[in-house]
Amino acid sequence: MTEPLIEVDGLVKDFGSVRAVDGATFSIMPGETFGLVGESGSGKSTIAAMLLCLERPTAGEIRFRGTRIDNLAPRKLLPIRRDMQLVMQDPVSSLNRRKTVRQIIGLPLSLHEGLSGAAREARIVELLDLVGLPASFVERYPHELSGGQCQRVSIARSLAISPEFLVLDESVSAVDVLMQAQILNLLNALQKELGLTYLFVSHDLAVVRYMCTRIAVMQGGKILEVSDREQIFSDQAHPYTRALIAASPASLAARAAAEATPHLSPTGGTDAS
Amino acid sequence: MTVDDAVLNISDLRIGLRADAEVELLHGVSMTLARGERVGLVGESGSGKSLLSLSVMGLQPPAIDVRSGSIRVNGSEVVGARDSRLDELRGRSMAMIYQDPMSSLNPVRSVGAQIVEAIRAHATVSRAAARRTAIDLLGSVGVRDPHRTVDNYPHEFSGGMRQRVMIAMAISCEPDLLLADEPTTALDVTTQAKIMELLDDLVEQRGMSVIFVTHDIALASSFCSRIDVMRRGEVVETGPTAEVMRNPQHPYTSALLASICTFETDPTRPLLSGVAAADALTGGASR
Repeated sequence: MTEPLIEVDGLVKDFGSVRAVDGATFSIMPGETFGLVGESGSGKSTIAAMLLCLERPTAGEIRFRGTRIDNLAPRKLLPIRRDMQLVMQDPVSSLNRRKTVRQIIGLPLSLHEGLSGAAREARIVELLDLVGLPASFVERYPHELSGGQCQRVSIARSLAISPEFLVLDESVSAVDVLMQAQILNLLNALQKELGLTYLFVSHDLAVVRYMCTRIAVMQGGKILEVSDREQIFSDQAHPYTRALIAASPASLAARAAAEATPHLSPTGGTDAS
Repeated sequence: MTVDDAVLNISDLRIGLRADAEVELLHGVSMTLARGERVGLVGESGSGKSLLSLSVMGLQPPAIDVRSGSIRVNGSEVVGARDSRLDELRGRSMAMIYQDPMSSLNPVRSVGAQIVEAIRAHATVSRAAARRTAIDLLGSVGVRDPHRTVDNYPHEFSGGMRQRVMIAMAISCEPDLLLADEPTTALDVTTQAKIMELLDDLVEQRGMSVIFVTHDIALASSFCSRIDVMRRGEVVETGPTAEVMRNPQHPYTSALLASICTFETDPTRPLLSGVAAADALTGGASR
Protein backbone atom coordinates (compact mmCIF):
# COMPACT_ATOMS: atom_id res chain seq x y z
CA MET A 1 0.00 0.00 0.00
CA THR A 2 1.19 3.49 -0.82
CA GLU A 3 2.35 5.65 2.07
CA PRO A 4 0.74 9.08 2.47
CA LEU A 5 2.86 12.04 1.35
CA ILE A 6 1.54 14.13 4.21
CA GLU A 7 0.04 13.05 7.52
CA VAL A 8 -1.53 15.55 9.87
CA ASP A 9 -2.41 14.39 13.36
CA GLY A 10 -4.31 16.36 15.99
CA LEU A 11 -3.11 19.71 14.70
CA VAL A 12 -3.91 22.72 16.91
CA LYS A 13 -3.02 26.38 16.42
CA ASP A 14 -3.77 29.16 18.88
CA PHE A 15 -3.30 32.84 18.15
CA GLY A 16 -3.45 34.38 21.62
CA SER A 17 -6.77 33.27 23.04
CA VAL A 18 -8.20 32.34 19.64
CA ARG A 19 -8.04 28.70 18.59
CA ALA A 20 -7.72 28.98 14.80
CA VAL A 21 -7.27 25.25 14.19
CA ASP A 22 -8.72 22.75 16.61
CA GLY A 23 -7.50 19.18 16.28
CA ALA A 24 -7.18 18.61 12.50
CA THR A 25 -6.33 15.07 11.39
CA PHE A 26 -6.04 13.95 7.75
CA SER A 27 -3.56 12.57 5.25
CA ILE A 28 -2.76 13.38 1.64
CA MET A 29 -1.74 10.61 -0.77
CA PRO A 30 0.91 11.17 -3.46
CA GLY A 31 -0.58 12.41 -6.72
CA GLU A 32 -3.97 13.34 -5.31
CA THR A 33 -5.69 16.69 -5.00
CA PHE A 34 -6.92 17.08 -1.45
CA GLY A 35 -9.53 19.79 -0.90
CA LEU A 36 -9.93 22.05 2.12
CA VAL A 37 -13.20 23.95 1.99
CA GLY A 38 -14.88 26.37 4.39
CA GLU A 39 -15.75 30.02 4.81
CA SER A 40 -13.42 32.90 5.77
CA GLY A 41 -11.94 32.35 9.20
CA SER A 42 -12.58 28.61 9.28
CA GLY A 43 -8.84 27.88 9.62
CA LYS A 44 -8.07 26.64 6.07
CA SER A 45 -5.19 29.01 5.41
CA THR A 46 -3.73 28.43 8.88
CA ILE A 47 -3.54 24.70 8.14
CA ALA A 48 -1.93 25.48 4.78
CA ALA A 49 0.65 27.73 6.50
CA MET A 50 1.49 25.00 9.04
CA LEU A 51 1.95 22.38 6.31
CA LEU A 52 4.41 24.74 4.64
CA CYS A 53 6.17 25.24 7.99
CA LEU A 54 5.39 28.96 7.89
CA GLU A 55 3.51 28.68 11.19
CA ARG A 56 4.38 26.37 14.06
CA PRO A 57 1.54 24.30 15.45
CA THR A 58 0.54 24.77 19.10
CA ALA A 59 0.04 21.03 19.31
CA GLY A 60 -0.11 18.01 17.01
CA GLU A 61 2.19 16.56 14.36
CA ILE A 62 2.84 16.97 10.65
CA ARG A 63 4.77 14.28 8.78
CA PHE A 64 6.12 14.64 5.25
CA ARG A 65 7.09 11.31 3.66
CA GLY A 66 7.01 9.80 7.13
CA THR A 67 9.34 12.39 8.70
CA ARG A 68 8.12 14.85 11.32
CA ILE A 69 8.54 18.41 10.03
CA ASP A 70 6.57 20.55 12.48
CA ASN A 71 9.40 20.72 15.05
CA LEU A 72 12.43 21.03 12.74
CA ALA A 73 15.05 23.74 13.20
CA PRO A 74 14.82 26.42 10.47
CA ARG A 75 17.97 25.30 8.63
CA LYS A 76 16.73 21.71 8.49
CA LEU A 77 13.60 23.00 6.79
CA LEU A 78 15.47 24.13 3.68
CA PRO A 79 15.54 20.74 1.88
CA ILE A 80 11.86 20.22 2.73
CA ARG A 81 10.91 23.68 1.47
CA ARG A 82 12.28 22.61 -1.93
CA ASP A 83 9.63 19.92 -2.06
CA MET A 84 6.66 22.12 -1.22
CA GLN A 85 5.57 25.39 -2.77
CA LEU A 86 2.68 27.81 -2.47
CA VAL A 87 0.50 29.53 -5.07
CA MET A 88 -1.29 32.48 -3.50
CA GLN A 89 -4.66 34.08 -4.07
CA ASP A 90 -3.80 37.44 -5.54
CA PRO A 91 -1.63 36.82 -8.60
CA VAL A 92 -0.83 40.50 -9.08
CA SER A 93 0.33 41.41 -5.58
CA SER A 94 2.24 38.14 -5.14
CA LEU A 95 4.61 39.15 -7.96
CA ASN A 96 7.24 41.86 -7.44
CA ARG A 97 6.10 44.58 -9.80
CA ARG A 98 9.62 45.96 -10.23
CA LYS A 99 10.98 42.68 -11.61
CA THR A 100 10.60 41.16 -15.05
CA VAL A 101 9.16 37.70 -15.54
CA ARG A 102 12.74 36.51 -16.17
CA GLN A 103 13.86 37.81 -12.77
CA ILE A 104 10.75 36.48 -10.99
CA ILE A 105 11.08 32.92 -12.30
CA GLY A 106 14.89 33.08 -12.41
CA LEU A 107 15.38 33.85 -8.69
CA PRO A 108 14.47 30.40 -7.32
CA LEU A 109 16.52 28.85 -10.14
CA SER A 110 19.64 30.77 -9.07
CA LEU A 111 19.04 30.27 -5.34
CA HIS A 112 18.06 26.63 -5.22
CA GLU A 113 19.30 25.11 -8.46
CA GLY A 114 22.48 27.16 -8.90
CA LEU A 115 21.57 27.85 -12.51
CA SER A 116 22.92 30.83 -14.44
CA GLY A 117 23.34 32.13 -17.97
CA ALA A 118 22.02 30.08 -20.86
CA ALA A 119 21.00 27.11 -18.71
CA ARG A 120 18.89 29.37 -16.52
CA GLU A 121 17.34 31.10 -19.53
CA ALA A 122 16.47 27.75 -21.12
CA ARG A 123 14.79 26.58 -17.92
CA ILE A 124 12.78 29.84 -17.65
CA VAL A 125 11.51 29.40 -21.20
CA GLU A 126 10.71 25.75 -20.47
CA LEU A 127 8.71 26.76 -17.38
CA LEU A 128 6.83 29.46 -19.30
CA ASP A 129 5.95 26.89 -21.94
CA LEU A 130 4.74 24.53 -19.21
CA VAL A 131 2.21 27.14 -18.05
CA GLY A 132 1.19 28.08 -21.58
CA LEU A 133 3.03 31.40 -21.97
CA PRO A 134 5.32 32.34 -24.89
CA ALA A 135 9.09 32.79 -24.41
CA SER A 136 8.75 36.48 -25.31
CA PHE A 137 7.13 37.07 -21.90
CA VAL A 138 10.53 36.99 -20.14
CA GLU A 139 10.96 40.73 -20.71
CA ARG A 140 7.56 41.68 -19.36
CA TYR A 141 6.68 43.27 -16.03
CA PRO A 142 3.62 42.13 -14.04
CA HIS A 143 1.65 45.27 -14.96
CA GLU A 144 1.94 44.27 -18.61
CA LEU A 145 0.15 40.98 -17.90
CA SER A 146 -3.50 40.11 -17.30
CA GLY A 147 -4.57 38.61 -13.96
CA GLY A 148 -4.65 35.14 -15.49
CA GLN A 149 -1.18 35.56 -17.01
CA CYS A 150 0.17 36.75 -13.63
CA GLN A 151 -1.24 33.61 -12.03
CA ARG A 152 0.49 31.49 -14.71
CA VAL A 153 3.81 33.23 -13.94
CA SER A 154 3.19 32.64 -10.26
CA ILE A 155 2.63 28.91 -10.95
CA ALA A 156 5.78 28.77 -13.12
CA ARG A 157 7.77 30.32 -10.24
CA SER A 158 6.38 27.73 -7.83
CA LEU A 159 7.32 24.91 -10.21
CA ALA A 160 10.84 26.25 -10.87
CA ILE A 161 12.50 24.10 -8.21
CA SER A 162 10.47 21.00 -9.17
CA PRO A 163 8.47 20.60 -5.96
CA GLU A 164 6.40 17.50 -5.31
CA PHE A 165 3.66 19.22 -3.36
CA LEU A 166 1.83 22.46 -4.15
CA VAL A 167 -0.46 24.36 -1.79
CA LEU A 168 -3.07 26.21 -3.84
CA ASP A 169 -4.57 28.70 -1.39
CA GLU A 170 -7.62 30.26 -3.07
CA SER A 171 -5.45 30.37 -6.19
CA VAL A 172 -8.37 30.99 -8.53
CA SER A 173 -10.61 33.10 -6.28
CA ALA A 174 -9.42 36.50 -7.50
CA VAL A 175 -9.78 35.92 -11.24
CA ASP A 176 -12.94 35.91 -13.35
CA VAL A 177 -14.67 32.65 -14.29
CA LEU A 178 -13.07 32.33 -17.73
CA MET A 179 -9.57 32.71 -16.27
CA GLN A 180 -10.51 30.42 -13.43
CA ALA A 181 -11.54 27.66 -15.84
CA GLN A 182 -8.26 27.94 -17.73
CA ILE A 183 -6.11 27.97 -14.58
CA LEU A 184 -7.97 24.91 -13.24
CA ASN A 185 -7.38 23.11 -16.55
CA LEU A 186 -3.71 24.09 -16.41
CA LEU A 187 -3.34 22.80 -12.83
CA ASN A 188 -4.91 19.47 -13.77
CA ALA A 189 -2.69 19.13 -16.85
CA LEU A 190 0.44 19.95 -14.81
CA GLN A 191 -0.51 17.42 -12.17
CA LYS A 192 -0.74 14.69 -14.80
CA GLU A 193 2.45 15.73 -16.52
CA LEU A 194 4.61 16.20 -13.41
CA GLY A 195 2.95 13.83 -10.94
CA LEU A 196 2.24 16.66 -8.46
CA THR A 197 0.28 16.43 -5.22
CA TYR A 198 -2.03 19.35 -4.42
CA LEU A 199 -3.67 20.81 -1.36
CA PHE A 200 -6.50 22.85 -2.87
CA VAL A 201 -7.97 25.48 -0.52
CA SER A 202 -11.20 27.24 -1.50
CA HIS A 203 -14.49 28.54 -0.15
CA ASP A 204 -16.40 27.32 -3.21
CA LEU A 205 -17.43 23.69 -2.88
CA ALA A 206 -18.41 23.40 -6.57
CA VAL A 207 -14.83 24.21 -7.59
CA VAL A 208 -13.40 21.95 -4.86
CA ARG A 209 -15.60 19.05 -5.99
CA TYR A 210 -14.40 19.49 -9.58
CA MET A 211 -10.72 19.52 -8.59
CA CYS A 212 -10.44 17.17 -5.62
CA THR A 213 -10.74 13.44 -5.08
CA ARG A 214 -11.09 13.88 -1.31
CA ILE A 215 -12.51 16.87 0.52
CA ALA A 216 -12.17 18.10 4.11
CA VAL A 217 -14.96 20.46 5.19
CA MET A 218 -13.90 22.99 7.84
CA GLN A 219 -15.85 25.28 10.13
CA GLY A 220 -14.64 27.25 13.15
CA GLY A 221 -11.19 25.62 13.15
CA LYS A 222 -12.53 22.06 13.10
CA ILE A 223 -12.60 19.55 10.29
CA LEU A 224 -16.23 18.43 10.27
CA GLU A 225 -15.71 15.57 7.83
CA VAL A 226 -13.35 14.20 5.22
CA SER A 227 -15.17 12.55 2.34
CA ASP A 228 -14.69 11.28 -1.17
CA ARG A 229 -15.89 13.56 -3.93
CA GLU A 230 -19.22 11.84 -4.48
CA GLN A 231 -20.01 11.39 -0.77
CA ILE A 232 -20.60 15.12 -0.26
CA PHE A 233 -24.08 14.63 -1.76
CA SER A 234 -25.00 11.64 0.40
CA ASP A 235 -27.63 11.76 3.14
CA GLN A 236 -24.89 11.15 5.69
CA ALA A 237 -23.06 14.35 4.70
CA HIS A 238 -22.67 16.94 7.47
CA PRO A 239 -25.42 19.62 7.51
CA TYR A 240 -22.76 22.30 7.00
CA THR A 241 -21.54 20.50 3.85
CA ARG A 242 -25.10 20.66 2.58
CA ALA A 243 -25.23 24.38 3.46
CA LEU A 244 -22.05 24.95 1.41
CA ILE A 245 -23.60 23.12 -1.52
CA ALA A 246 -26.75 25.24 -1.21
CA ALA A 247 -24.77 28.50 -1.11
CA SER A 248 -22.77 27.82 -4.27
CA PRO A 249 -23.66 30.11 -7.23
CA ALA A 250 -24.27 26.96 -9.27
CA SER A 251 -26.97 25.90 -6.79
CA LEU A 252 -28.48 29.40 -6.57
CA ALA A 253 -28.73 29.40 -10.37
CA ALA A 254 -30.24 25.92 -10.49
CA ARG A 255 -32.85 26.82 -7.86
CA ALA A 256 -33.76 30.04 -9.64
CA ALA A 257 -34.09 28.19 -12.93
CA ALA A 258 -36.35 25.61 -11.31
CA GLU A 259 -38.72 28.28 -10.06
CA ALA A 260 -41.13 30.03 -12.34
CA THR A 261 -39.86 33.42 -11.24
CA PRO A 262 -36.26 34.35 -11.88
CA HIS A 263 -35.82 35.38 -8.25
CA LEU A 264 -33.95 33.71 -5.45
CA SER A 265 -35.37 31.16 -3.10
CA PRO A 266 -34.39 31.32 0.54
CA THR A 267 -31.05 29.65 1.08
CA GLY A 268 -31.71 27.27 3.92
CA GLY A 269 -29.16 26.33 6.50
CA THR A 270 -26.58 29.08 6.05
CA ASP A 271 -26.89 30.58 9.52
CA ALA A 272 -24.66 33.17 11.18
CA SER A 273 -22.21 35.21 9.17
CA MET B 1 -43.21 50.62 -22.52
CA THR B 2 -42.13 53.89 -24.02
CA VAL B 3 -38.65 55.23 -23.51
CA ASP B 4 -40.03 57.79 -21.06
CA ASP B 5 -41.38 55.20 -18.58
CA ALA B 6 -37.99 53.54 -18.48
CA VAL B 7 -35.95 53.99 -15.32
CA LEU B 8 -32.83 53.81 -17.44
CA ASN B 9 -32.38 54.37 -21.12
CA ILE B 10 -28.94 54.17 -22.67
CA SER B 11 -28.68 54.74 -26.38
CA ASP B 12 -25.71 54.28 -28.65
CA LEU B 13 -23.22 55.16 -25.93
CA ARG B 14 -19.65 55.60 -27.14
CA ILE B 15 -16.90 56.15 -24.62
CA GLY B 16 -13.18 56.49 -25.17
CA LEU B 17 -9.92 57.83 -23.85
CA ARG B 18 -9.81 61.61 -23.72
CA ALA B 19 -6.13 61.64 -24.67
CA ASP B 20 -6.37 59.27 -27.64
CA ALA B 21 -9.15 59.49 -30.19
CA GLU B 22 -8.16 56.07 -31.53
CA VAL B 23 -9.07 54.28 -28.31
CA GLU B 24 -12.77 53.57 -27.93
CA LEU B 25 -13.84 51.54 -24.89
CA LEU B 26 -17.61 51.27 -25.34
CA HIS B 27 -18.75 50.90 -28.94
CA GLY B 28 -22.33 52.09 -29.10
CA VAL B 29 -24.06 50.39 -26.18
CA SER B 30 -27.85 50.61 -25.92
CA MET B 31 -29.95 49.34 -23.03
CA THR B 32 -33.36 50.00 -21.53
CA LEU B 33 -34.43 49.10 -18.03
CA ALA B 34 -38.08 49.09 -16.97
CA ARG B 35 -39.26 49.80 -13.42
CA GLY B 36 -38.53 46.80 -11.23
CA GLU B 37 -36.49 45.06 -13.91
CA ARG B 38 -33.20 43.36 -13.00
CA VAL B 39 -30.51 43.06 -15.60
CA GLY B 40 -27.37 41.00 -15.17
CA LEU B 41 -24.45 42.67 -16.94
CA VAL B 42 -22.04 39.81 -17.48
CA GLY B 43 -18.57 39.59 -18.97
CA GLU B 44 -14.90 39.07 -18.15
CA SER B 45 -12.50 41.64 -16.66
CA GLY B 46 -12.03 44.50 -19.09
CA SER B 47 -15.24 43.91 -21.03
CA GLY B 48 -16.52 47.38 -20.12
CA LYS B 49 -19.27 46.41 -17.69
CA SER B 50 -17.94 48.46 -14.77
CA LEU B 51 -17.19 51.42 -17.01
CA LEU B 52 -20.78 51.33 -18.22
CA SER B 53 -22.21 51.33 -14.69
CA LEU B 54 -19.85 54.11 -13.55
CA SER B 55 -20.88 56.19 -16.55
CA VAL B 56 -24.54 55.85 -15.59
CA MET B 57 -23.64 57.39 -12.22
CA GLY B 58 -21.59 60.07 -14.00
CA LEU B 59 -18.54 58.72 -12.17
CA GLN B 60 -16.34 57.71 -15.10
CA PRO B 61 -12.64 58.50 -14.51
CA PRO B 62 -11.42 61.93 -15.70
CA ALA B 63 -9.30 60.34 -18.46
CA ILE B 64 -12.49 58.95 -20.01
CA ASP B 65 -14.67 60.86 -22.35
CA VAL B 66 -18.28 60.21 -23.37
CA ARG B 67 -18.08 60.76 -27.13
CA SER B 68 -21.66 60.33 -28.17
CA GLY B 69 -24.93 58.80 -27.15
CA SER B 70 -27.20 59.34 -24.22
CA ILE B 71 -27.87 57.99 -20.73
CA ARG B 72 -31.24 58.94 -19.28
CA VAL B 73 -32.23 58.11 -15.73
CA ASN B 74 -35.92 58.69 -15.02
CA GLY B 75 -35.92 60.76 -18.20
CA SER B 76 -33.04 63.02 -17.12
CA GLU B 77 -29.91 63.17 -19.24
CA VAL B 78 -26.71 62.20 -17.42
CA VAL B 79 -24.27 62.75 -20.28
CA GLY B 80 -22.94 66.29 -20.04
CA ALA B 81 -25.05 67.05 -16.96
CA ARG B 82 -23.66 69.54 -14.46
CA ASP B 83 -22.44 68.30 -11.09
CA SER B 84 -25.38 69.94 -9.32
CA ARG B 85 -27.80 68.06 -11.58
CA LEU B 86 -25.92 64.78 -11.05
CA ASP B 87 -26.09 65.31 -7.29
CA GLU B 88 -29.88 65.55 -7.53
CA LEU B 89 -30.00 62.26 -9.44
CA ARG B 90 -27.52 60.40 -7.27
CA GLY B 91 -29.02 58.99 -4.12
CA ARG B 92 -32.66 59.49 -5.01
CA SER B 93 -32.82 58.30 -8.62
CA MET B 94 -29.79 56.04 -8.64
CA ALA B 95 -27.23 54.62 -6.24
CA MET B 96 -24.33 52.24 -6.47
CA ILE B 97 -22.79 49.44 -4.43
CA TYR B 98 -19.17 48.56 -5.09
CA GLN B 99 -17.14 45.40 -4.85
CA ASP B 100 -14.88 46.28 -1.97
CA PRO B 101 -16.80 47.60 1.04
CA MET B 102 -13.61 48.19 3.03
CA SER B 103 -12.13 50.68 0.61
CA SER B 104 -15.50 52.30 -0.16
CA LEU B 105 -16.19 53.16 3.47
CA ASN B 106 -14.28 55.86 5.32
CA PRO B 107 -12.19 54.02 7.94
CA VAL B 108 -12.04 56.93 10.40
CA ARG B 109 -15.76 57.68 10.67
CA SER B 110 -18.46 55.56 12.25
CA VAL B 111 -20.83 53.85 9.81
CA GLY B 112 -23.71 55.82 11.32
CA ALA B 113 -22.02 59.13 10.54
CA GLN B 114 -21.47 57.99 6.95
CA ILE B 115 -25.08 56.94 6.43
CA VAL B 116 -26.31 60.19 8.03
CA GLU B 117 -24.06 62.12 5.65
CA ALA B 118 -25.53 60.27 2.66
CA ILE B 119 -29.09 60.95 3.81
CA ARG B 120 -28.50 64.63 4.53
CA ALA B 121 -26.67 65.17 1.25
CA HIS B 122 -29.90 64.43 -0.58
CA ALA B 123 -32.71 65.41 1.78
CA THR B 124 -33.37 68.23 4.23
CA VAL B 125 -33.70 66.40 7.51
CA SER B 126 -32.30 66.99 10.97
CA ARG B 127 -29.25 65.10 12.15
CA ALA B 128 -31.36 63.32 14.79
CA ALA B 129 -33.97 62.21 12.23
CA ALA B 130 -31.26 61.04 9.85
CA ARG B 131 -29.68 59.03 12.65
CA ARG B 132 -33.02 57.35 13.39
CA THR B 133 -33.32 56.51 9.69
CA ALA B 134 -29.75 55.15 9.69
CA ILE B 135 -30.59 52.84 12.61
CA ASP B 136 -33.74 51.64 10.84
CA LEU B 137 -31.77 51.03 7.65
CA LEU B 138 -29.06 49.05 9.43
CA GLY B 139 -31.80 46.93 10.97
CA SER B 140 -33.46 46.37 7.60
CA VAL B 141 -30.21 45.14 6.01
CA GLY B 142 -29.73 42.63 8.82
CA VAL B 143 -27.04 44.35 10.90
CA ARG B 144 -27.56 43.07 14.44
CA ASP B 145 -28.21 45.43 17.33
CA PRO B 146 -28.26 48.58 15.14
CA HIS B 147 -28.76 50.98 18.09
CA ARG B 148 -25.29 50.06 19.27
CA THR B 149 -23.50 49.19 16.01
CA VAL B 150 -24.49 52.49 14.37
CA ASP B 151 -21.55 54.01 16.24
CA ASN B 152 -19.07 51.30 15.21
CA TYR B 153 -16.29 51.85 12.69
CA PRO B 154 -15.96 49.85 9.44
CA HIS B 155 -13.09 47.68 10.78
CA GLU B 156 -15.37 46.43 13.55
CA PHE B 157 -17.57 44.67 10.97
CA SER B 158 -16.93 41.45 9.01
CA GLY B 159 -16.74 41.64 5.20
CA GLY B 160 -20.35 40.55 4.81
CA MET B 161 -21.59 43.03 7.42
CA ARG B 162 -19.62 45.87 5.78
CA GLN B 163 -21.32 45.07 2.49
CA ARG B 164 -24.67 45.29 4.33
CA VAL B 165 -23.65 48.76 5.57
CA MET B 166 -22.85 49.78 1.98
CA ILE B 167 -26.25 48.52 0.88
CA ALA B 168 -27.94 50.49 3.69
CA MET B 169 -26.17 53.62 2.47
CA ALA B 170 -27.12 52.97 -1.16
CA ILE B 171 -30.83 52.54 -0.40
CA SER B 172 -30.95 55.37 2.15
CA CYS B 173 -32.58 57.81 -0.29
CA GLU B 174 -34.81 55.16 -1.88
CA PRO B 175 -33.31 55.16 -5.37
CA ASP B 176 -35.26 53.87 -8.36
CA LEU B 177 -32.14 52.35 -9.89
CA LEU B 178 -29.53 50.34 -8.02
CA LEU B 179 -26.19 49.68 -9.70
CA ALA B 180 -24.46 46.76 -8.03
CA ASP B 181 -20.89 46.28 -9.30
CA GLU B 182 -19.63 42.82 -8.25
CA PRO B 183 -21.11 43.38 -4.77
CA THR B 184 -20.32 39.85 -3.59
CA THR B 185 -17.11 39.00 -5.45
CA ALA B 186 -14.87 39.68 -2.43
CA LEU B 187 -17.01 37.49 -0.16
CA ASP B 188 -17.01 33.75 0.35
CA VAL B 189 -19.91 31.73 -1.05
CA THR B 190 -21.90 31.39 2.17
CA THR B 191 -21.80 35.15 2.84
CA GLN B 192 -22.46 35.80 -0.84
CA ALA B 193 -25.65 33.72 -0.71
CA LYS B 194 -26.88 35.74 2.28
CA ILE B 195 -26.14 39.08 0.63
CA MET B 196 -27.94 37.95 -2.53
CA GLU B 197 -30.95 36.98 -0.45
CA LEU B 198 -30.92 40.40 1.22
CA LEU B 199 -30.69 42.21 -2.12
CA ASP B 200 -33.52 40.08 -3.45
CA ASP B 201 -35.79 41.05 -0.53
CA LEU B 202 -34.91 44.75 -0.63
CA VAL B 203 -35.29 45.06 -4.39
CA GLU B 204 -38.62 43.24 -4.24
CA GLN B 205 -40.00 45.35 -1.35
CA ARG B 206 -38.87 48.67 -2.76
CA GLY B 207 -39.57 47.97 -6.43
CA MET B 208 -36.07 49.03 -7.46
CA SER B 209 -34.59 48.39 -10.89
CA VAL B 210 -31.15 46.80 -10.75
CA ILE B 211 -28.10 46.51 -12.93
CA PHE B 212 -26.13 43.64 -11.45
CA VAL B 213 -22.56 43.62 -12.75
CA THR B 214 -20.70 40.32 -12.43
CA HIS B 215 -18.32 37.96 -14.19
CA ASP B 216 -20.34 35.02 -12.88
CA ILE B 217 -23.23 34.28 -15.22
CA ALA B 218 -24.58 31.62 -12.82
CA LEU B 219 -24.87 34.15 -10.02
CA ALA B 220 -26.46 36.70 -12.36
CA SER B 221 -29.00 34.12 -13.48
CA SER B 222 -30.08 33.49 -9.89
CA PHE B 223 -31.03 37.13 -9.40
CA CYS B 224 -31.84 38.74 -12.73
CA SER B 225 -34.75 38.53 -15.12
CA ARG B 226 -32.57 39.48 -18.08
CA ILE B 227 -28.93 38.88 -18.98
CA ASP B 228 -26.84 41.25 -21.08
CA VAL B 229 -23.49 39.75 -22.08
CA MET B 230 -20.71 42.27 -22.65
CA ARG B 231 -17.46 41.66 -24.42
CA ARG B 232 -14.84 44.17 -25.50
CA GLY B 233 -17.11 47.16 -25.07
CA GLU B 234 -20.16 45.73 -26.79
CA VAL B 235 -23.32 43.96 -25.69
CA VAL B 236 -23.03 40.74 -27.70
CA GLU B 237 -26.15 39.02 -26.41
CA THR B 238 -29.26 40.03 -24.52
CA GLY B 239 -32.31 38.05 -23.55
CA PRO B 240 -34.51 36.67 -20.77
CA THR B 241 -32.37 34.78 -18.25
CA ALA B 242 -33.88 31.35 -18.90
CA GLU B 243 -33.34 31.66 -22.66
CA VAL B 244 -29.75 32.91 -22.43
CA MET B 245 -28.88 30.16 -19.95
CA ARG B 246 -30.58 27.35 -21.87
CA ASN B 247 -29.89 28.42 -25.40
CA PRO B 248 -27.01 30.91 -25.66
CA GLN B 249 -26.72 32.47 -29.11
CA HIS B 250 -23.24 33.97 -28.95
CA PRO B 251 -20.20 31.65 -28.65
CA TYR B 252 -18.80 33.94 -25.95
CA THR B 253 -21.90 33.32 -23.82
CA SER B 254 -21.38 29.59 -24.30
CA ALA B 255 -17.79 29.97 -23.12
CA LEU B 256 -18.92 31.86 -20.01
CA LEU B 257 -21.41 29.09 -19.24
CA ALA B 258 -18.88 26.31 -19.88
CA SER B 259 -16.30 27.94 -17.61
CA ILE B 260 -18.46 27.52 -14.52
CA CYS B 261 -17.96 24.62 -12.12
CA THR B 262 -21.34 23.17 -11.19
CA PHE B 263 -22.03 20.09 -9.10
CA GLU B 264 -22.74 18.24 -12.36
CA THR B 265 -19.45 19.16 -14.09
CA ASP B 266 -17.55 16.01 -15.10
CA PRO B 267 -14.28 16.11 -13.09
CA THR B 268 -12.55 13.88 -15.62
CA ARG B 269 -12.94 16.41 -18.44
CA PRO B 270 -11.29 19.83 -18.82
CA LEU B 271 -13.55 22.84 -18.37
CA LEU B 272 -14.56 24.68 -21.53
CA SER B 273 -14.14 21.48 -23.52
CA GLY B 274 -16.65 21.23 -26.29
CA VAL B 275 -16.73 25.01 -26.64
CA ALA B 276 -15.15 25.31 -30.04
CA ALA B 277 -14.43 29.00 -29.85
CA ALA B 278 -13.32 29.07 -26.21
CA ASP B 279 -9.60 29.31 -26.92
CA ALA B 280 -9.87 32.09 -29.42
CA LEU B 281 -12.45 33.93 -27.34
CA THR B 282 -10.52 33.91 -24.12
CA GLY B 283 -7.30 34.73 -25.90
CA GLY B 284 -5.43 32.43 -23.58
CA ALA B 285 -3.45 29.31 -24.24
CA SER B 286 -5.72 26.89 -22.44
CA ARG B 287 -3.88 23.68 -21.92
